[in-house]
Amino acid sequence: MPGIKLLTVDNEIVEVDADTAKQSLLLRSMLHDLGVTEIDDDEEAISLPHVTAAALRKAMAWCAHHKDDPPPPEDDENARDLQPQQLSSWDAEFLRMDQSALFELIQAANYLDIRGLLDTACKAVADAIRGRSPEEIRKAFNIRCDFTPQEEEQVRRETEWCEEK
Amino acid sequence: MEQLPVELLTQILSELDQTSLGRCAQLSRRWRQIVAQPWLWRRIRIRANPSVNPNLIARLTAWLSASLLELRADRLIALELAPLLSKSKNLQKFTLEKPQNEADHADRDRRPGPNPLSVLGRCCPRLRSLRLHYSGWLFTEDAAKQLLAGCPSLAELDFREYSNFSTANSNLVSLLAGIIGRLTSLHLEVSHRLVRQVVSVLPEIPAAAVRLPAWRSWLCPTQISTTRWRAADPPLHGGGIHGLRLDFCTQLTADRFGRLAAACPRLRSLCIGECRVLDGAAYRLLVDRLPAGCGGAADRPVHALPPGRCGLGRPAG
Repeated sequence: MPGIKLLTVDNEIVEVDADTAKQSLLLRSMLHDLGVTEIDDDEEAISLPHVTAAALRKAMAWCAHHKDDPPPPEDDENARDLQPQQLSSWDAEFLRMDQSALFELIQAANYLDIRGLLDTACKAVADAIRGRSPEEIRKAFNIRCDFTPQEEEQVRRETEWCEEK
Repeated sequence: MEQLPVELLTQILSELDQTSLGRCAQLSRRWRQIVAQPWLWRRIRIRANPSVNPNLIARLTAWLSASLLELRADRLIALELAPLLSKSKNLQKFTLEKPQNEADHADRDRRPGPNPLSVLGRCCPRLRSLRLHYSGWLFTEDAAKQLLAGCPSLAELDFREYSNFSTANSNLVSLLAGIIGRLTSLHLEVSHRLVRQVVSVLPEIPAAAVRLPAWRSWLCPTQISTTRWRAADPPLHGGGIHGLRLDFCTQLTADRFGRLAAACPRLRSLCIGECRVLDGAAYRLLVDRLPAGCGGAADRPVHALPPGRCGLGRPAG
């Protein structure tokens, strides 16, 4: 498989498999526009201004594992239901990483336009939110509460109806 | 988390149900603002609860009505729902469960609104699925008429009722008769008298049935699912019925079943649930009486089925 060189935001050159990279719609269109087919030592690396090397390697590892997946279905409002879909055990294991790495990966998946990875990683974060109290979510994600006590009480009352009792 | 831009936080939130969304709104000012985007709240359930703010319906009407796809209203005062429904022009799925009659409610100063089911017919042209649980008293002639005229996509009906409202029954039957050509799913948990009335309009169901796995058979088009149907009743006029699901039919003997099977020559799948009197021998007798070509779970041995449930079938030919 031909490889391509990518220059990440932290100034590292990462060499990736071209076929795997094409799961990123951004890289696919870049490769298409540049007419890059083969690795060439003289070729300049493609610069990715928003992606760290660690996140890029992670994203490419995910793409390599999922390279034979069928394309994700178009978002069909009617077909979607409320039941959260379980992540596959491979994905769950793959996404077990510290929070800042996970958020970097989400941003990388978004920038590189890898929809499957973006959906999967967002689901993993949603799973970590589901079932927790506001205080627990704040603690888990290090979110600072900037409400005044009055505001906090008001928003608590406003959202009381959402609780399924 | 705070490093993520709004659109990515929004995508994460779009995976969550209303309980989690409500909690996320309480995290901080930024989160409250992001969570308030109406499209995150396309499917909601409102339950009566003494602590619920009395202005909730008005607030939801102003905030969410245009983006609502699915609404489940549980034990609310029926007539107060009308304003919300009248603005929910994209609503596809509506469940009304045990609506309360305003006359029972202490607060009688509020002016009663129109019947929510009539409003649904007038204002929700995209309605696809209607579930009415113990709401028969609202099923007026006008409601049936409005639903028939205003909801051309209505194809799933789920009607459950303890009491026997004869006017609601005839209104339901007239609605069914009007939408029968496009009906994809019908679930009834009603008196056997109503089931008989309903079944009498069913033979006109078109024969374009789709076979689904037997255990989901009540989702099939041209499917009828009933409970409390007594097999001792006169044979059903089941000429067009492709799938039948019978629950709690404790008097279902092989002989009675034979009469039912004879009345449904096009039966292709059958599921009998919660019918503990059926043992292996009775099961085999039932299989013998199935119409020719009725497939389904023939390849499964009886003992492999969940206790209290049995699927019947015989290979074609």
